[in-house]
Amino acid sequence: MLKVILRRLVALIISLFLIASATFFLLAAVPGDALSAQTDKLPTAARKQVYRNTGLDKPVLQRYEITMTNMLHGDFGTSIADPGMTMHTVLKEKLPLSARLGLQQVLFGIPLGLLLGTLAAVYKNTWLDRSVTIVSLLLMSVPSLILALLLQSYFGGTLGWFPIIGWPEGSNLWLGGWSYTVLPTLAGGLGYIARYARLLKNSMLDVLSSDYVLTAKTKGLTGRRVVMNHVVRNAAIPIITSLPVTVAFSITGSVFVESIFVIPGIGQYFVQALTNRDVPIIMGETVLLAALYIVTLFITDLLYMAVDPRIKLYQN
Amino acid sequence: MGKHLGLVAGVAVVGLTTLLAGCGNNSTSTTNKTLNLVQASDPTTVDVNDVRNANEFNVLNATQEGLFRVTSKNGKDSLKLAQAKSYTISKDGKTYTFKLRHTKWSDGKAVTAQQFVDSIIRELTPKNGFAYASMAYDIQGAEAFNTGKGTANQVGAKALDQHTLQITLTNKTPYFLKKLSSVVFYPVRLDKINKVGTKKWKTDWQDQVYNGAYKMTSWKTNGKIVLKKNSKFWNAKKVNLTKVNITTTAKDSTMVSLLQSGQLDAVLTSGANASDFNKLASSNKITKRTQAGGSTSFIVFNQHTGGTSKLLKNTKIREALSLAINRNAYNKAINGGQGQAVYSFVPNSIDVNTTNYHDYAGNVLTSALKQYNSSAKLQALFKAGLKETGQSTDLSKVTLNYLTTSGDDTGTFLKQQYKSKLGINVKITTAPDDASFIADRNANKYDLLANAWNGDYDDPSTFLNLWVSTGGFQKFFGGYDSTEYDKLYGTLADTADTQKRLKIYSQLEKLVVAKDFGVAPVSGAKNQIYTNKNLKNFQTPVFGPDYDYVYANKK
Repeated sequence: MLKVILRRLVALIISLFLIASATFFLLAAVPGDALSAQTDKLPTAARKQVYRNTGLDKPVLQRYEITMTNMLHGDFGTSIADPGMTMHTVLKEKLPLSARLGLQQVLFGIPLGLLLGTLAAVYKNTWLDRSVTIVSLLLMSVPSLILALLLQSYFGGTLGWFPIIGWPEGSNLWLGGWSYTVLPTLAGGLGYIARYARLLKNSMLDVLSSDYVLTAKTKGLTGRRVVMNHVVRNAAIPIITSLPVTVAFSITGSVFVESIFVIPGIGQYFVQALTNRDVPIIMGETVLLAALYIVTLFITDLLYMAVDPRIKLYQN
Repeated sequence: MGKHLGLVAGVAVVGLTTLLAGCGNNSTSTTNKTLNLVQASDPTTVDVNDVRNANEFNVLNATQEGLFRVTSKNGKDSLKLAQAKSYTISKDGKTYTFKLRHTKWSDGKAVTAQQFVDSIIRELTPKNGFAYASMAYDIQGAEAFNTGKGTANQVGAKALDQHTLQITLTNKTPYFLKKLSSVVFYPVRLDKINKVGTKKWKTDWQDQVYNGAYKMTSWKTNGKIVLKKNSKFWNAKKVNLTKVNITTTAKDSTMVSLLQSGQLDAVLTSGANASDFNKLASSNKITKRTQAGGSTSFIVFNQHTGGTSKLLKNTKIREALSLAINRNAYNKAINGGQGQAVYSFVPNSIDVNTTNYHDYAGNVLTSALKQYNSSAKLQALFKAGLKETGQSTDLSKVTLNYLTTSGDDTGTFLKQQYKSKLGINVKITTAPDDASFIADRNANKYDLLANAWNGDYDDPSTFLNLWVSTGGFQKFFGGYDSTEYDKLYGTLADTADTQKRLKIYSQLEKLVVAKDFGVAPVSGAKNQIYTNKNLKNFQTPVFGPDYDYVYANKK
């Protein structure tokens, strides 16, 4: 096991290095940079000075060397568009907001989705199954952007039940200001309901029609015991393996929901960094997301093993 | 396994009840002392010398103060003494002496004349690279210092004593005070700035000190800015609103919902977006007002290289391109009918001294439009231009390259107009973001592009100095280069008489728009201002900040 973890760790470092380098050079290859728009109106001499002030006047390879060395020390540098902001302050100030939003969406959406999926599979071809199928198809097809705007203008604007914009901060950061979180949670969470209901229903139907379920039934087990002991465990494999990625990426923010409900989270900030060509923040973001993804995949692999002992991570 | 399913269902129910428990305590109450506003995006700076965008002017106009404050009534701006108590102008019109009020910063320190001098010097210091440095060029020695040809102590700004400021100009400049009211010239505290450094000062709101009506007490990017009344402000007893929330959102539907529910007190909108707000006009809680803006949108012709088609150095071709645009159709298609079709470059809202410029100069394009009133005549004109450049006169073989960033309908409009009226083609090149757009533009990979200019102060020169070939603006505006124009513009330097200036300005405008066709003005802004009915004295100056609420109140 230790060997597996070590091997993965080395792979992680190599991957991150490659990803960071690729990101850096791709950004350098695109015409224009973080300062082009800002310095557009300046006389040539002043523009050169601004470039010198930020170090963007240095040759690409030299900048690459500086960026990579600093990164080794865990320093991604200061934002160019927003001086004073570093990856550290971004994570400290903005990540908690996005994390609460994402976790609430997941905690609301996935359990409800699983429940509906199970019901739809068990009561196959009844009105329940059909309504779950139709509703989840609908929710999956409507982007969270549209859903958010609709929820906002109806429940926030017309009915006035919930605040139109805003998000709890300060002492309410994690537990409090719930009314602010309702609409954003619904806007993202409804999608999870749809996705997980469909996923579980399909996988349960597969299992329900398999031979060992038939055997269990012929042995005389009750329907309830068949579902609990044989169906759920096997049908859970695709769920368990997709859960870590969903959870991990739910906390890294959602651009649309954040921008519509004016939540100063990390999702919006990262997209802005991209359009601003804010290299230090983009590098930090890419490395963070890549690391998160790789680690999550590893956890997923471990979960695979736990759920289905037939699966092995590596061959000796 | 039975337990697991139970757990799953349990979590779902808990999730629901926690969410529902949140309902009901809707606590976004607004008091009569709080003003709620929105901004489309966060300021990129709170450094007065570094200011460049409207939202920054808006915030800094409330938190800091200069010698004058722009007050606005019915779409007319005028200057009111603010940090200055009085001023005198020397006989030759070049030396201005200001007596300052005895005012204080939010940390209790005195506002001094030296801090105004520091601001001018800092604005011009080459290594700071501030965008608005050229605003100060009227001051003696300013341009030389900013371009590295002079030193700071040659700049004509001096503190005669703690409360007397003297500014000396190169030429008699009748509109200088209008310029001087800009945020760019507000006083600065070098003792504070030097502690954190200019680079960090830009967004370091926690270390700022304020001499204006409000202090910034919180700023969350993509969230909101909170301002609280500054009790040290010299005129604090006249400031009624104690708190201002400025939320960052660019979504019209959100603003409409907020306005309807009384959680937003004012919105200023123009162009195509304005139609999103139309349904508010019938609301009895909201007042709507329309006001001419201080900006012009125009089509840029690449005269640097003649563009990718190599045709745009030809005057006849540019003339045909300018006259082929139906300005009314443009306004309908691009602004949703909410702007104004224009036939000259300087907006209607501009005055020279107190005479309205546009009333004097009229629409400079009218006679040319009358002359070329059919597509046959326009095509003949274009062909004559092609002949002059030595190209084939087959119109269907002409393709012009229109450069844009994503989300712009002007290209499609031009494509359709030019195809139907001139029979030529337009290719639309879409740059993925601003940085790539700038790179392509600087490499002259375009024939046409759309641009707009927002005047900085109330005088035609803020629009007409753009076309001086040495002014540095031609990088963005196509590279119009005329010695006749430059010479004529130069004569303004010794002309203070209003009538004479009106005449020179209108000659300049005719030259660039209707004789050389160096640019095609197409539309002007008309701002729609929606305010909460109980909000009084909420001003919307044409120049400088979008709004001024320092002396506003809610009843």
